Amino acid sequence: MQKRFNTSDSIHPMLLPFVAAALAATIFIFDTFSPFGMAVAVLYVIVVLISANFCDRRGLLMVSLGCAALTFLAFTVSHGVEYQSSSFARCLVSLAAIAIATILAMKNKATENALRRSEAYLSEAQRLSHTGSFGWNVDTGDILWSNETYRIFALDASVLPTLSIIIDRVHPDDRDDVRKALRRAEAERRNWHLEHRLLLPDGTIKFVNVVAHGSDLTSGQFEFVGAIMDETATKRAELDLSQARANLAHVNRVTTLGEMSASIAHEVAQPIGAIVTNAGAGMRWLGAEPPELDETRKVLGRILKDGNRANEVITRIRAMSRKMPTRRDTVSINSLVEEIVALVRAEAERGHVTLQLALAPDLPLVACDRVQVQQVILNLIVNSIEAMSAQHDGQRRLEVRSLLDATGNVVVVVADTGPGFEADQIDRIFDAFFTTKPQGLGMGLAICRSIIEAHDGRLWAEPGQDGGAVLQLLLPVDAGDEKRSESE
Amino acid sequence: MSDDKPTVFVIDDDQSMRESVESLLRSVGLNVRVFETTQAFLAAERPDAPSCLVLDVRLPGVSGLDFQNELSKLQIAFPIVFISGHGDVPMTVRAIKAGAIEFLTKPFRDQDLIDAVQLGIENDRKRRAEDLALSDLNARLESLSPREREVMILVASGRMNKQIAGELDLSEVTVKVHRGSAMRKMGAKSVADLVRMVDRLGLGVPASS
Repeated sequence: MQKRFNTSDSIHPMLLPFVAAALAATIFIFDTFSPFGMAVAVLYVIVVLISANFCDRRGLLMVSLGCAALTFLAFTVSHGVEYQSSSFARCLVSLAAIAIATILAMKNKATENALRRSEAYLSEAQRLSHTGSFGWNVDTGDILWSNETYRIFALDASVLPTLSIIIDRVHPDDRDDVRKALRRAEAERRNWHLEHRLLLPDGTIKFVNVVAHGSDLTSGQFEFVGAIMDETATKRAELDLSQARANLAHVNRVTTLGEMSASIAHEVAQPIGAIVTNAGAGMRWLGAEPPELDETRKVLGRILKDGNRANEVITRIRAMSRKMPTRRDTVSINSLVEEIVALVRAEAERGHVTLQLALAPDLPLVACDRVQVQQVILNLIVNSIEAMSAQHDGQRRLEVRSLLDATGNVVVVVADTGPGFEADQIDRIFDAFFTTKPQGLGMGLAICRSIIEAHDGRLWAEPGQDGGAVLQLLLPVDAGDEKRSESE
Repeated sequence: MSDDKPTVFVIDDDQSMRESVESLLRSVGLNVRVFETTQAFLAAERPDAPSCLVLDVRLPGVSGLDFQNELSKLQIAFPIVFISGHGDVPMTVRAIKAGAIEFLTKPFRDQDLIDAVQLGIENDRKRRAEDLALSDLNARLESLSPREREVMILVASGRMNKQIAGELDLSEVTVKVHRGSAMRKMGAKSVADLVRMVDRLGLGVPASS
């Protein structure tokens, strides 16, 4: 806080050197020519003190030596070299006084410098952490603010803060709560804390967190000293996070895989539902007295028909994904991966999964349907996160790498530390209807592979070196743009 | 014409579903009629027997839930069992609140469908019996003369014959006669019976102070 007791407060700082010089001159004249047997030279102490205000250490030392010289000069002029006399003793006393004053002034200066440095650090710390400090004398109503507090409230530093100014800048919806809290603080005189919003005159809204500690002053009054933290950035980040989550859900819903999964689920559920019902009917027909074989035959016939129907649905959808008009954007794989990872970070954190990116720089650009490839990568990542959900915390690591392989194509690798695949399952995981998830539909990887193959790429899986699964997808490089790369 | 064999009506636009559900319900001895659309169902003749409706929630054009409303407006009080290829919680809740017996998502366990349908038929049987009893009562009520009716209502309110005579300006003997014939025509074996009947018919008056 800015208030400091300053000797120069009452005199214009520019005049001080002249005042000091004039004083020194006056003292010298008195000292030399006055008949009084006094140690007039002691008054040089005043010159030293005044000089401490505008001199640095070296300057002060010079002034001090100057005064000492003047003292000695005065003595020499008026008394010659009578070193045994009481005048000389007085001279020595004056010199001692000047020396002591200088030492004290130096110490004061050092302390002032340390204080100023400390305040500068504090001020910088407050600025960096968006935390301001304040003091509130409950009995007098005086409020003191640090620079950062002024900044948080967007108030000019020349204005004296008051409770009404503060309340004015509190968000209208929070005013009642804040007033109540402050009134309670005043009455109970106990440590308090408060979270509320500010609405500044220019319309900005800030989220602040205020904490205060109370103590008695020596004057008998009571004072709160506290900090106010501007948490707007954190709150914004939280909002962005939930927005990102909503975006993720939305992306899942409206893009290729999302749409497909929903329509597959529905189209397949119908024949499967009929199959189950038919089977139930068949059991009952057979269990009748006597067993109804004709009816059972009919039932089995329907089961066959419905089973084929389900199969057709899958085939049709796979064919559809291959024929789908794939857009050909020229895409930087790394930027694509980074976008997906940004969306998925929240999920990863919730599943306590450590997500690492190792993207090779300067990869050539790839021609592909941005949205579809993102969906594939998203699917792989989400599969990995789900696969690791049964591991112990700390053993869930997911790494996404991008690289240029030996054939000059771009490869994206998604590796996890989950249970991985059984050796005999590795080939089958891309088959339709194959799933290791209890509630899985078994369509994700089949569709992913269709999408990548439609791009003339490849999608395959390998067991990880330390267990876990490694899914790799390869995309051919845009032949016409081999010269261009990601670094541009 | 009352044929008491219960009937289940199935409305689903998917042929496989229709055929499989029909076979399943027939295998447990139920009468089943299937329809592809709600219009076909409404147009068809319905037997006078305990019934239940198995309805797919998503039919082309009509939502099963809207049809539920339509039926209640038409005063067709069949219990409804919904089946659906997908169901979200709000839809399920709405259906149940609107009086559906059950909401099953495909593929459902066949026993679940059978149980729901049996429950529906049981409920419908009870409702029909109650309706029958009420219409019987109403018929008997019609057979009373105006005086008998008045006396019956006052007797059911707990008044003494003397009070009734005073209120209706009749002799006590006349009151007794009307009372006896009213009870006979209504088939009430005691005053308590009579009170219950009057209550069912919604004719009660406050007891005398």
